[in-house]
Amino acid sequence: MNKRLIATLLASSLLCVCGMGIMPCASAQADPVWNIGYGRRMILPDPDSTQPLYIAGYNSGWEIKGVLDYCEARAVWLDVGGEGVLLIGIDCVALDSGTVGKIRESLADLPNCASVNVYSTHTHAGPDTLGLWGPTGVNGKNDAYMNALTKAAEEAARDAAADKKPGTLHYGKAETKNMYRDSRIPEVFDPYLYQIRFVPADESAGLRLFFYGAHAESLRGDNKLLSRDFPGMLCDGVTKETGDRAIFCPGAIGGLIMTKAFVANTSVDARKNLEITSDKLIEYALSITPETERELKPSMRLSREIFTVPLDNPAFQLYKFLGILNNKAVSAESATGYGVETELSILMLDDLAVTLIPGELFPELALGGKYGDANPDGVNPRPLCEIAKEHGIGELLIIGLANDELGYIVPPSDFLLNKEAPYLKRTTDYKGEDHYEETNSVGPACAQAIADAFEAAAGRLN
Amino acid sequence: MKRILRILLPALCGAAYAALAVLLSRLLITHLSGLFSLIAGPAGLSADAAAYVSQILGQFRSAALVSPWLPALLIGAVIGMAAAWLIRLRHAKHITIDITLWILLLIPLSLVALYFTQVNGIMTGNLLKTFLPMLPELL
Repeated sequence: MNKRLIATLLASSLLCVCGMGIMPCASAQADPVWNIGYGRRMILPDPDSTQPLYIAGYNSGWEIKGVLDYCEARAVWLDVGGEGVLLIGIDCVALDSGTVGKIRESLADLPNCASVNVYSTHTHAGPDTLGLWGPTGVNGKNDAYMNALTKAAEEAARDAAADKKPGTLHYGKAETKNMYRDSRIPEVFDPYLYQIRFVPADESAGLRLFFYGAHAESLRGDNKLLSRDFPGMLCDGVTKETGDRAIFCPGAIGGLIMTKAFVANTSVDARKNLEITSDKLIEYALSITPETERELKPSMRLSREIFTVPLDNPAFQLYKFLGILNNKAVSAESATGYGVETELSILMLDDLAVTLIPGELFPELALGGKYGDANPDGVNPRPLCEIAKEHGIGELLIIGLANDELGYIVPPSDFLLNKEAPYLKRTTDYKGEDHYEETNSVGPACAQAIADAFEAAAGRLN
Repeated sequence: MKRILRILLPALCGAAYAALAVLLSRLLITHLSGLFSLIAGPAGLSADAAAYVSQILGQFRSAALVSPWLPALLIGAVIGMAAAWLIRLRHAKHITIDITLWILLLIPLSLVALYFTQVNGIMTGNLLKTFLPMLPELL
């Protein structure tokens, strides 16, 4: 063969290879771009179910008497050209890791999905999805409802994955004023309503993710109507005004952060309180304009840390023994001999760290500032914002009740138990402050475990 | 062969007896509700209270149980072999245990097995150790 022919053959082969997109002479990688998708499904109670449907959040054994609005599963798919991450928000009080595991299993075959994350909006007007609001000692979950919930979560997630389209992502926030009530001193809360807004390149309906650190209980404790509470109203209101789809994420709501009562008597005017609360939040959401936003560069990383939290609460141990709670129990050094295996994740969207915390974090554990002092021997971990700064993280957003529910995550310096029946009965401190949250927590070591897990996850991002 | 059988047979008998105790412990926890219903009436409990407690105990019917099979079988085998050795000793030759006693002995052995059984991931013994000190205060 002559040299000219060999050279021609070689050049042709090279061109073919390049044409097929194989790496050696592929042109420079296409710039990453945000691909976001959205899905939404209603969770409908089964009218033929013979099991009661208990309302979760306040009283044991209260059955739902009617429907204000149905709970939903809303999902967001995010990717920057590679594998995607799913965020699935469920309108419910909480989900343990057992239920999260079932939802993940149902999505195991979803292609190109790196991570499925499931969180609860913490509505106190939804059915019992944790099992704690049936008669004492009796599992309050309705099996048919739980199946419908898992199915809705799966379908919303698949819809989100199929819906994804390219576009830009924008971040903004609005400071809410006179909205909060912190029922436990010190009064520490994050006053901001945060928004991540997706603008599709094809100018179709966008998407807004809202982050707000308040318990979803504007209907308060006498309500027996099924409802998403303000998270649902906020999303619907923004959609109505802007055409953008919306999803709500609860922030650091421990301690006990809720929205104020805007009516004189919430027992009588619960719906009015819900409307006023929602309208105010919609107004704040709409005040976040493109001029006040900044664009997030298409860069996404996820760091997940699995860790064990010592389980000191005997009530949780008993409820696990009865098969009501389905968190994963492992042997550990603790008052009960067990720990709860759980997880924390940090989803970096550009320099924004969306941190998925498996419980209801007291805001001071994220923000720092003032701490309670009912337990002088308790040593608080470093606040998450401080750890984040050390690892070069620009801004921190919290999604609470994510992928598990450990209950309240209380600062150790304020962790106080009833001496005669720790965790089973409440107590008050020297200031007369009610220490209710401790009875719904795994124990004082949780706060440090969360901080350590956050540090480990943040370290891996670097 | 005879020598092997002399060791194997008592070991197998001991293991089988232990397995029976473990099996009984599993039946005990899964049928706790039914057993309670039998004693609720004679114990003078009201119908509502009995139904409530039955509902709580009924949750064990679908419990995930992890029984201490291996330790029980091993301990049973060792005790079987030890018992056989004792019986072979001259001064123990005439000691027999009534069959009724063997059956009755199953009950405490089942409770021991239940102590070491994991119910939904929590060992019964651990739960008892947590709650027993608090019982006076709770009652």
